[in-house]
Amino acid sequence: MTRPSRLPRLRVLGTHEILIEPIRRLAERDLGIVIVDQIADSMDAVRRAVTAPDSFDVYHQWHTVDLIWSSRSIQPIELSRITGWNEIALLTKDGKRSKGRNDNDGPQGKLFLQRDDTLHSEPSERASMLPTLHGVDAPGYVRSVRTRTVGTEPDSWSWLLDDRWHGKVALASDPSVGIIEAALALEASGQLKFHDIGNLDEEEIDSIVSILIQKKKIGHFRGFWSYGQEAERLMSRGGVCLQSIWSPSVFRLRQIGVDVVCSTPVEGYRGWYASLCLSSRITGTVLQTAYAYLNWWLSGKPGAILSRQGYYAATPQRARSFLADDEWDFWYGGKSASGDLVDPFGDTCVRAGDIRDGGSYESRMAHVRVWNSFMDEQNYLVRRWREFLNA
Amino acid sequence: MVQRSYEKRRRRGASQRLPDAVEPQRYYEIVETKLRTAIKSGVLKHGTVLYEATVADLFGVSRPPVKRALHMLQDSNLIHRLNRRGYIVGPTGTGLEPIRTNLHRLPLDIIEPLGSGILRASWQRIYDQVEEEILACCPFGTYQVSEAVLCEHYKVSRTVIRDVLNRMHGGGLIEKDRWSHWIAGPLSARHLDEHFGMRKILEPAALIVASETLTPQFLKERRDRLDSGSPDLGPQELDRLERDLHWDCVLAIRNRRLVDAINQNHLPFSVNRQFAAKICPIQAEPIRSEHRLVFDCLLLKSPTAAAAALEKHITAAASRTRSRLKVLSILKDVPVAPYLVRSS
Repeated sequence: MTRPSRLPRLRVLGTHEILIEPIRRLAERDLGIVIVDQIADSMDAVRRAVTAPDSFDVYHQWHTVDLIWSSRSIQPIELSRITGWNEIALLTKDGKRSKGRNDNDGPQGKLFLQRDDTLHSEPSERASMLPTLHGVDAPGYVRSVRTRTVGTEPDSWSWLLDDRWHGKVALASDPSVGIIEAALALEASGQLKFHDIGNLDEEEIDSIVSILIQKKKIGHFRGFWSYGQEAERLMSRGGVCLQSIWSPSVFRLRQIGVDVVCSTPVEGYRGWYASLCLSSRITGTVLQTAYAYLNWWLSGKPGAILSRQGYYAATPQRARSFLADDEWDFWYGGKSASGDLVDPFGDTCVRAGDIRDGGSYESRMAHVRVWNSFMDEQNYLVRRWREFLNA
Repeated sequence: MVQRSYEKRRRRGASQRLPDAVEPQRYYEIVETKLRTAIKSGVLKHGTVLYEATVADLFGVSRPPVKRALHMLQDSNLIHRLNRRGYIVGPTGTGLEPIRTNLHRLPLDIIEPLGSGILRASWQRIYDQVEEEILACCPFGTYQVSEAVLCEHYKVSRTVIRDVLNRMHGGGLIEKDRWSHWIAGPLSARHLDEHFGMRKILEPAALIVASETLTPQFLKERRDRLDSGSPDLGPQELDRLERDLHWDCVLAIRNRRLVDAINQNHLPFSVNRQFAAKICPIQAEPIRSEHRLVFDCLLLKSPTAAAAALEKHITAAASRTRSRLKVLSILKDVPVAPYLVRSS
């Protein structure tokens, strides 16, 4: 019989893509703690964060900060207890590279706690979340099918609803992500125009959903996915040739021989960020352990690990010190790989000579068209989206 | 199981309602009780003739409930048939001589219940409960309201149910789809904003009028209540706090059209109740401090300042309620009343 560990224990809630085993093992070793990962897809994770804030200590969240702040599931982070705050990439702190978009939904939009208990980009001594990662998403396609379907046309979101891809398309089932991608597709094809694509109104949601329902009924979509592995299955065995795809999935599919390309849409990417939040219920030693975990995330080590699946660390320069030069040059520099590179699990995911789709960190992040967001009409959207999924 | 848990909640909801919302009696029950008491006390003497039409006129109701009440009294052998339209007080077979009396002159004590509003139209008796149940489902999807199940649930006729639903339709709370089904939800932030927008216009104006009749003692009682109570509000405490200002003060006016207009924009209260019941208690302090300012201005005899404070409060409440509606988006498959069928 094994004795229960006396080491401090931390329950971390988050998604499959971030709470990977190498991260957990390294954090346990570096911090001398026991980490209990609570893995869920993005919607289940936020549901749990809102309805059971005492069931986790730290939440690796994804664009949900205003929801979990409204439900009083999280507590402010005292910046005086964070080492390395000033090294967080400007992008995620003040959004200098993201002007002209729905920047209030970007990583910096709801970052700081204001005196009236609201969240805003105006700096203060307390933050709602600790930025850890960011990146961009775009449709991924099977290279050979693209060539025979659309020839040499430039990459476009419009393909998601283009008849030429009929029966070969999958969509993300998460309403927040799915609606933005559908809106990008309809805007790109010239079918609809939106006042603010990151904050769609009721009529815009109705218009999009009715087109999607029509498309679904005629068999345009081959599937829907909730997390990366589901998307990979759809592309490796399900006959899907085009779908929005996350970076780790692109490299995992290539490892099993599916030649997937992450597109560089002329309209721009859908930007995302991830950050850590503290449960409102933790105090004392657990809170202290949670702060140690937060600071560890800025150390660069976890950022370096997740850079190897295509994510960008909030402290890129710190992550750089844990990456080999050729890794840095490929993942952040947009240069061709000088040798084979491995993923976070040690398996080869990049071959010598490969170049990252979309280029360097700077050029990819500068190409964000819209940030993921929980829109003002989120409730209406979720209910209408369900109608679409059930149609 | 779902049905049982729903019933439990419904009963709890009923017990949480304020004293003025006690379960009202049905017309026939009132008529039957009053007549039975009058017969037993001797106010209605043996031999007195009771015609359906006369009794209906006496109580100010239609004939069917009177017919039902008289049937019940006959079954109890307190009255018996005189002819097709009338009865005689007293047990059957006693051969009493009919006494034709002006019932209006008898001390039947029915002025008080009429004046207190207990004798409301059938639809009024169930309206508040049905409205609350339908509004409660709106944030969680699109629901079809089944008239048949609703009739069965409240044991009332289709006519009554249609009265209720037509009024809700008139207030924009439910819609009819192209197949003429009654549809509730899904609730949008824009819909919520529209309710707040109306309240921002109407409530401050009503408060200025109401301020002429609100006594300092009445206001002070309510202001003093703000300083007691928990920092976090469940649905019941929240309701009480809101009622002190938005019902007791704002609606203390004689203009019934204005009262109706304001009442048609109370959907936001339902969203906050849902949040407090299903997500987490609501922080009392911002609401309390905003209400306090309104009461203070009223106590200082400054209705214009009170109206401005009320408008500011409604603006702030709109923003808070919007955020709460967003949080409700994470809930799915929420139990609803049995006559509501999810259509998506």
